[in-house]
Amino acid sequence: MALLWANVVISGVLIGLVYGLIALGLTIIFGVIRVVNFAHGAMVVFGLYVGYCTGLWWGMPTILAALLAGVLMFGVGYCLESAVVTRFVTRPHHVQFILFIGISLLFTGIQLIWFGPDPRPSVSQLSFETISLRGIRIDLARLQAACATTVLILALAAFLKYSLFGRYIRAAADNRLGGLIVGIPIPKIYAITFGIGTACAGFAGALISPLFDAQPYLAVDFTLLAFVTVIVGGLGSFVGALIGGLTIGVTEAVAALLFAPSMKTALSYALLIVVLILRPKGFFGAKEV
Amino acid sequence: MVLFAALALLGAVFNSYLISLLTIVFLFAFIGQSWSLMLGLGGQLSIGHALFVGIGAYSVAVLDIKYGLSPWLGLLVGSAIAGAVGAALAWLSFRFEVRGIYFGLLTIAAAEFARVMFSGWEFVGGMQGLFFPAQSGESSLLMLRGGARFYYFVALGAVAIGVGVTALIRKSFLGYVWRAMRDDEDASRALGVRTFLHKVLVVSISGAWAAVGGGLLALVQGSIFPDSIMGMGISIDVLIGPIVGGLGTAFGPLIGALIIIPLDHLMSAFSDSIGIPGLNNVAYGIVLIAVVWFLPDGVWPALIGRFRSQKRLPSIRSQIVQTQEVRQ
Amino acid sequence: MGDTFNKDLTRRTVLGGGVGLAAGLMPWHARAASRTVKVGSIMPSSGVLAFPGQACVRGINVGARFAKERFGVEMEIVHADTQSKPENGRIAADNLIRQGCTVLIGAWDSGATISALQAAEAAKVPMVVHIASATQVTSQGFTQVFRFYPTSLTIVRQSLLELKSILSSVDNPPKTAAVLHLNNTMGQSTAASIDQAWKEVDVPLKIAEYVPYDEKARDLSVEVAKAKASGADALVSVTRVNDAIMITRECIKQGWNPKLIFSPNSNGVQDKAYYNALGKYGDGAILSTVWYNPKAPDTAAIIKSFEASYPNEWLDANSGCAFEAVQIVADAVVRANSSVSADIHAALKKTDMDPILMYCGKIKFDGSGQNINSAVTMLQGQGGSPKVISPRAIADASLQYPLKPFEAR
Repeated sequence: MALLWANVVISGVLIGLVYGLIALGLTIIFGVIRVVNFAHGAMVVFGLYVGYCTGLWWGMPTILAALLAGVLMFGVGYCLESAVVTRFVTRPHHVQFILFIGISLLFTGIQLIWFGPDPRPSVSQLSFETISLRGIRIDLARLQAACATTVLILALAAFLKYSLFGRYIRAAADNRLGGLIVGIPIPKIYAITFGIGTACAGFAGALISPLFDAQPYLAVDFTLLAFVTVIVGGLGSFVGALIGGLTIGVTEAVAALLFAPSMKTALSYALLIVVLILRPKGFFGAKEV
Repeated sequence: MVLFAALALLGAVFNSYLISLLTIVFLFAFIGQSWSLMLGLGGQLSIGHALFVGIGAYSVAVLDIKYGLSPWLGLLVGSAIAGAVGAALAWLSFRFEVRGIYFGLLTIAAAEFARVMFSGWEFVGGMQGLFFPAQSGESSLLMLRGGARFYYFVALGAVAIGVGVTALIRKSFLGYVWRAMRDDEDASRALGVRTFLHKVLVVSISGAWAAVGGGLLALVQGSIFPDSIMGMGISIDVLIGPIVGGLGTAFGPLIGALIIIPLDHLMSAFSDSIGIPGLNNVAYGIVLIAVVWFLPDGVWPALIGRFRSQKRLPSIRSQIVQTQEVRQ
Repeated sequence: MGDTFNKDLTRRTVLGGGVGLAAGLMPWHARAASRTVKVGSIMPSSGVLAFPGQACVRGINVGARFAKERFGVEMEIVHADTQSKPENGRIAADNLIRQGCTVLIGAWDSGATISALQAAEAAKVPMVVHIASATQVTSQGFTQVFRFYPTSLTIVRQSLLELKSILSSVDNPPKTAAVLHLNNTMGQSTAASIDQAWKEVDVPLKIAEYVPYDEKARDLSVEVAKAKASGADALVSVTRVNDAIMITRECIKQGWNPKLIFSPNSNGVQDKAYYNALGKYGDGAILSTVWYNPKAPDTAAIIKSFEASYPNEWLDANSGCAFEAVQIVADAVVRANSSVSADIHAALKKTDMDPILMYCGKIKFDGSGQNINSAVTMLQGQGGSPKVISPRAIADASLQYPLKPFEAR
């Protein structure tokens, strides 16, 4: 019994870190640009397809595929921001919402036409592998994703803290007008930030391709998942995404063990409602909105 | 007025395809009006309107199918429950200062939570859904049962009432208070508006309104399942119409639904005909982007603006943007 | 009736119906058709149900070509997409009827089917429901419905009978089972049917635990751990293809080797994606479904024609049922010698035909419109593809038992 609990909790922690990874891109974009990217899920699915294709064509290891997907999605995000999203930065949320729904539908439609509706599973052997420590089994694909999440968060935090660009980004997040006045190229900063956000989504998608089979209409599910995660942790905060993911992952795992597993999703929404009401900005929410 | 008279007359001659298409258009316009009231006048963004739609649909279905009671009662009960749920949700959120986009996210969470709960609730059929018996063919206003044309007129009536009510509210004291509150909550509170109460009120009214639409939708569909009637899909479909048509205006939601839903079906038919499913999603996505790009206030204000350019009031968009700039 | 169409529609139909015709090597020599009928096909070819929906569209297209050869019925298929939304069922049906379709086929999910049936009912146009398993489709008093597909309870009952005979034929059978089921419309009704039929059939296997999981669950590790911890040595799972893959992966990762994996009324073992994902691990699991008869006289030719049009796809249960529905319509049109709705309806009521492709008894509809001689087939993954292991008469492989431990593969 103790072993079962240990396994379940560890699996919850690992999947929680994966959730954190999926949510990271959303939180970066909101933290700086203050737009809520409802097309996030579609971008994660794009990453899944990159993971699937590179594995199938070139037998590329997942981690390399993830880097490739990150680079590709950076480009997509950068172009998307500077061509489209930039016009909507100061517009009300509901207009942004429609914009991103439109973008999401566009992505999903393209994926449906290109790949068809069939689930596209990763061919990577990683999807079956585990390491075993005294009866505790650790899923390698999740472990890899969890490690990558941690590294990515540290790297991003260091980038923001120590690089010039990072300082620009933080300045832009703190005070857009002030940044403009002191001559920070805000539009460019926004485009790069958006690119980093979508790159994180693509990176996450490819990295989890051994866990989830790519299918176009997964987009909405991933968007919702990312939302629950970042709101519980605090929209706009890196650590928040991590903590949010861990909270959701462990709560769901324990709930599935104790109650009917079909209700575990309800529990994460209930948790979200409670967190929103008690701490509207999440555990580590951005200071102002 | 002229529009509705024309639509009513045409209802007698349209073929059954147009009838059933327009019935859905009217129903989504009607639900869209409730959503538009909440954001366009009350300033509260809901992205989880499926919650209210679902409550209405289930109230009608449960009372009708399980107890044989008239759907009128179901509509009444449904809107009472949805109104109460809306009030409770709003009370909780605003009590704890959940505002703006966070309130929107809270509504998503509430709707998804309800969806999962309903899908495990055996009394309402769980995921196996609830089914109405087949139509016998004769219409009955009391039991709200009838053929396609019957529902066309019911939906048309509903949407006409919706336009009337929206116009009335806009011109009433309530309308002015709500708009003041929407544009600057702190300032209106300083002027003595009990904003908390009014925010709860607008969410509650909108919820009750949407539930009526949900109940009618259930009758038209003939069966309901939690994942379709309470899913994210409904929440999104509901708000597209008003934004395309013109938020907060009397005719906006109807015009928006009249444009966007038939367009969606046309594109869908086209992508079927050339055998590329998914093309409709692409086209629909592009249309949405184009609308918010070129017609930021929606179609109806743009049309009106063309005729009455002098009298034109500052648009909602610019007002909200101004508010945001001030806050920042 | 059949030839009241305008120019626009002809182009549409030809293009829509003839997908892949260019690539198609026609295995049947087209005879001069004696009868033309316009058939509306309502499927969820986009939206969340696009996966089964597009499979059905393929079945319809291949079926129409076959029907022309076999029955001499020239079918004009007009496709309509519900986008996986129930309210669109009715709009799609009305649209097809407006375009002159005198018989409909559809609509895969029960919600859209009920919605479309209302339009069919009003216009008195018969509708052949190839798939939609909710009991209510034929119990709500619709007069125009003819359902080929059995209800969940029928499928499950027959599946459990088959399971019982499998269990009695093997040495060292499993003792207890964990039931892991998807909590969507199909999964919940199947689980309810399992609950009901298990005792009726008296399956010599104890159910240790029911573990339901949400359709949107992103991770099934705890669910599988729970099933494993129940001490069961057999896994009964009700799945779609994605979660069938996820469950098998979790079994491998958690080192759980049940003696038997059995999925009644499910997807997984029957799908190509399952083998693409799992490779050698896909073998051994057993699944029951409505499946094609590999020994029927025309099966080989039909599969060949299907593969010629869709080289990257398999003929599966979805496309198979859609194919059969087209043949049911063609048969009725020939007997009615008319393409008028009322005549086709009368003929459908008297349907008594041997199935062309699918495995079941003579197709016959009862008063409510339900096909009474439906049958299920047991498939087992062997060598990377599904093989029929039961019923004996049509089996093309024999049962492999017990499941080979995953780590020993």
